[in-house]
Amino acid sequence: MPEKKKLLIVDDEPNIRELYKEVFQSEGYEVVLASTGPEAIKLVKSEEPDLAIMDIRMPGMDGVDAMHEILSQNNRLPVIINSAYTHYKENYMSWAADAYIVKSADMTELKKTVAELLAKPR
Amino acid sequence: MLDFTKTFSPNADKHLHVSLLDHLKEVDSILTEFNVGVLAFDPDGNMVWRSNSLKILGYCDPDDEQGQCYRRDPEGEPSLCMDCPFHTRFEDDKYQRTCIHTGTGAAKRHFEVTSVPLYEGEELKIWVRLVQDVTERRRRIQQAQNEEITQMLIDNTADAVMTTDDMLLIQSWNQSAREMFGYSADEVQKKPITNLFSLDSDTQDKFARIQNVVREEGAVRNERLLMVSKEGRRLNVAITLTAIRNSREEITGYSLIVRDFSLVAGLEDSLSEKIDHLTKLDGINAVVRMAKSKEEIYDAVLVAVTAGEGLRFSRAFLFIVNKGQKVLAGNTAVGPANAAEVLDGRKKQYYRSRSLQEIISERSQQKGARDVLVTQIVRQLRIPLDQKDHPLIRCLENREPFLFSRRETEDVLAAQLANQLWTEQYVAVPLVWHDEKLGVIVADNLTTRRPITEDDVSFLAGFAERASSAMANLSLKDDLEGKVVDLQEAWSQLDDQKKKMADQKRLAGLGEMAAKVAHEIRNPLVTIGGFAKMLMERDIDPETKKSLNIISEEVMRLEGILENVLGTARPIQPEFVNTKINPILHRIATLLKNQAIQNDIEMAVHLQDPLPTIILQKDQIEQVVINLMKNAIDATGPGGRVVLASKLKDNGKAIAITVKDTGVGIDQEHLQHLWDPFFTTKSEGTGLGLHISKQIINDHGGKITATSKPGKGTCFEVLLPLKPKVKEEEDA
Repeated sequence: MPEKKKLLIVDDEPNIRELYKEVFQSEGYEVVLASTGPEAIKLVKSEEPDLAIMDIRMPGMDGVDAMHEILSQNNRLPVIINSAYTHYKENYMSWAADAYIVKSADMTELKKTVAELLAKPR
Repeated sequence: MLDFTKTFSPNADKHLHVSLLDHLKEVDSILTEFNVGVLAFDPDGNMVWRSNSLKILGYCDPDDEQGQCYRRDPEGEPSLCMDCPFHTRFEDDKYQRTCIHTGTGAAKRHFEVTSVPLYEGEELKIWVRLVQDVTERRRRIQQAQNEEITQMLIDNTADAVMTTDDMLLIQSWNQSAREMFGYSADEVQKKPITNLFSLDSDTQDKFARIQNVVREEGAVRNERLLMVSKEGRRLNVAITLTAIRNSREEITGYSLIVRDFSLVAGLEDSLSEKIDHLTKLDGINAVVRMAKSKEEIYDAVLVAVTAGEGLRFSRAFLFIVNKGQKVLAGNTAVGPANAAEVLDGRKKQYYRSRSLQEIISERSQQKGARDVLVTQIVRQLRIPLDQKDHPLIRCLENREPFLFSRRETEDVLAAQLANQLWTEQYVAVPLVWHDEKLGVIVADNLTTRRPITEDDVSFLAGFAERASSAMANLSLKDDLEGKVVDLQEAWSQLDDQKKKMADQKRLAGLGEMAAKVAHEIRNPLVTIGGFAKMLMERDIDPETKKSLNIISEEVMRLEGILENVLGTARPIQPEFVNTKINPILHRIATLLKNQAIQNDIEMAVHLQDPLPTIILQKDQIEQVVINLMKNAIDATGPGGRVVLASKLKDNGKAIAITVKDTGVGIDQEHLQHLWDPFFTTKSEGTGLGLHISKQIINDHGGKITATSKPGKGTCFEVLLPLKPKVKEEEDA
């Protein structure tokens, strides 16, 4: 039985965090939650997650900045940008994110992408 | 002194000189034959005798017992003669002759009365008075005098006067006839008068007709005919032919009066021609002035120069001064390009059969109908304005018409122009208005080969003057209109720019807002839908699962809308499916029923059943109808009513979905902006609903319309074809 993969969910919306926690826990992942950029940076250090799912527009610190900060510490961490904005999608490659998935109630795509990224050898 | 007023005394003859009286009595019968009456008076003035012939003369009835003098009037009733002409007093004893008149008018008679005193020795014995009726003689004298005057008149009149016998052989011939026709009286004596008439059949026929009329009616006056003089000169005359009849009404001859109109006719012709020209010029002028554009006016000018109703040249070329390039440039032309094209009679017929106005208006309607070839020729001609020796430049500079005939000129440039225009003779007239040199009209008679006359030239020049004014006016108007148009354009451009800027600003703002809206909406949607989906995967009762499914589906639909309207990242390509519309409408009604009840609104559903299946994007149409229903509910106050209905329309080719409310209605001014993006009257609306709805319906090849009465309610109708055209095209 392999060790449970740990996902870091970064979102300022508590309901989204709660939903993702429920969904991904039921998928068999261990989930840690952050509501701000700085909090996420701390958790990356302390919790050493296997993958981060981040919103990019949050109060205080922009998700993209936070992601860059995180990547400067651990450039192997796969990051999925998960935003309600559809029009940033073209830019995500330049942000060095591994994927950009628009938020949707249908989480099939997100789940699939998480699994794929985690399966990739790092 | 004798007094003849004394009454007749029968016994007086006793005292008379018996032998003389006897002699008179003897000649009485002879006297009667000579129409001479004789009266005899004694020296005292008593009538002693009168001849029977007096009776014939109509005076003094000798049978009268009373010795009274009577006059018989035509009816034969004797009446007492109180003023008997024969009772005139003798003034002295001398021989006297007097004239007396009786009656009036046609009954007037003239008598010559001669009183002769007869003496025996020194003693006066008897007066003999001879009365002679001279009426006839006087008439003859009068007639002779009249005839003399007539002859004088005939000899002195300017008209030729001649008489003929009944066979129309000339008998008399006056001085004017000699002068007019050049024949002496002897030369024409007994010659047929018909020799004087022109031999053309028109004239001969007409004279024959005139003769017939004269035989019937006696005379024909002032008939215009052609006669010919001795030298063969044709005379334009008016004749008056009168039949001369004898007492038995038989025609014994004719009199013919001939008035020479040749000179007058010439004057008349030239005058009427002048009037004609002037009228034509005015007509042409009016037509030219009607032209609205430069092209039209140029065309009108040229057609006027060439058309049958106009100046009748066969071709016309228009050269226009181009001030910028300092050239006189060929612009337009009308007519055949060369002798070969002349053969194309169609065009000629076309011009002949139409009025100037018709031709010009027809030509202006079909703009390409210029005479292409000849216009091409003229357009190759560009003469620098400083080439002062060129005939056209000279014409323009000197403002003088220029007539070129190949035989009469050494002018090389003018001959060269003739070659370029394929012509032998041409006329050029300047188009000048005040000091402004506008151009030159060149015209020729290539088709007709009719020589160009001085008249043609002056007429064309007159026309050019008028055309110039029209052209100058138009170019002035053009300039002004052009400036006005420029200004208007500048304004509208500015206006457009302003509008665009405002739109861009608004759209930029709206884009930002829309993005925010999307973000704000998407997060709760994700939460709602995500949880619903998650719960559905758990082991729950079917009833709850069904509800969760509705939640999930609605969320997905909303996400789809957001994606569609506000995002491009993941465009949804909704599928067209063949489906039944009524279940969708039922579902929507169920979905919104609670909302309606909460607002105390009655909701009714009138669906036509059955309806054929329809090909559509289910989600999209659902969204449209929900949007319309929600709007209706929002617009309707408590106690109001919202009706959702479906119906087959357009002969079964389309389905109409109507949403009708009894709400506040929409103002006319708002109605027209209804479909604009971000237009809303609601405090909480995005203003996108109807805009998106319209787009969706358009995608289906359908129509969405709104009718509204403020205060009464609104009705939206969505008309969807059973098979959307867009779809069909894609399939094809």
